[in-house]
Amino acid sequence: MTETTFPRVQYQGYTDEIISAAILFDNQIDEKWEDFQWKIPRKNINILIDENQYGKEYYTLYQHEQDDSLTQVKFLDQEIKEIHNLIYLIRNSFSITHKESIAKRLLTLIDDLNEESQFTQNIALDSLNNFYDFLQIHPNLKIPIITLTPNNYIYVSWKEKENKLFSIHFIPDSNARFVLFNPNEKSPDKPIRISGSFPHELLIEKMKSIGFIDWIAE
Amino acid sequence: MSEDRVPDKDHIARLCLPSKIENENIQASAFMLRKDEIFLSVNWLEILNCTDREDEISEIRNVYSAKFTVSKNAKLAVLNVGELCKKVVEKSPDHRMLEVFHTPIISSGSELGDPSHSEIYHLMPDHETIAELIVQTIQQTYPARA
Repeated sequence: MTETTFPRVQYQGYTDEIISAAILFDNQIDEKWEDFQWKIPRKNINILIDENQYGKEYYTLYQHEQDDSLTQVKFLDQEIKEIHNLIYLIRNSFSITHKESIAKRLLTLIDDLNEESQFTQNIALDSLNNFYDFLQIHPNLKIPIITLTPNNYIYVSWKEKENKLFSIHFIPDSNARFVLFNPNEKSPDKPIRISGSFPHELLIEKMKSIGFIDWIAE
Repeated sequence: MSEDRVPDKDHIARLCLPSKIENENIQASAFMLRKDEIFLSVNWLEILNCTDREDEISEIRNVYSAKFTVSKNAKLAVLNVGELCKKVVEKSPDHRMLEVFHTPIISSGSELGDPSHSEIYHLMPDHETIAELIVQTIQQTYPARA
């Protein structure tokens, strides 16, 4: 096995045995999973791998005394693939107006998360899934500000000024939560502030029905 | 919870991580709670007895860098306690009354202390609205590491 088969492997505090296991893992990512398990010493491992076909991809491997620990490793790996697949789908969408900017922003957020913690973190998959659904239903909205909440859920905002904003919190397995601040032309001293939760696929229609969010459409 | 309430005239700093910042602007997500959290951690600046704001920020940076690795693009948001509480009580639909308490972390064993550590309470429920109001009261921002 040579260096050229794999652009870069970064590692922290491994024995030589684990480094070779990491390389084996990358080259035979699914087929040799069972072999891979036997090569890892029983301790915590944290591996960062980059420059693969998705751009960047991270693997955190936790190996504890319990037998089910490696199941968690494989799940994480699968989840990371699904996250990158969703970003790929956004980037290659035929309908989403700002697909390139949104995909790039999501990848930046993944980089940010991994800089923020010594442990590998990622965008919550179900939250991203809901956001992707939302983008497919509403492909022609202005590009929102996209950040992550402390639970790594997607939080998007459109803002025109302090008292005119619309934000959506994409919570997994639940209705999206939203915040709307809007000036009140009839009573300027009583600005409109509404919040609540609603199915993400119906939220924009609901807000349109009360007439406050035309300004977020392209 | 300590009984020491942070005075309205004083200021607090909140560490805002890069995933809560876009184009250098701190967003409301920096003031939201994790699942199961009941308070937002901040640092009380005046309790540090520094000569000026720069020294206070420097002191906070020192505490953070001793405890964990601070992301290079993280920021510190400085807010006035009175202004923050007033904005939220006046503008939130339920006239929420936030409270900020001084809850110093004392060094013990391997855990390093954080003498100015403080906590904001009553962000839940509807922390999205409260966070959107809080973020509007940010007075200054600083890089979280020197």
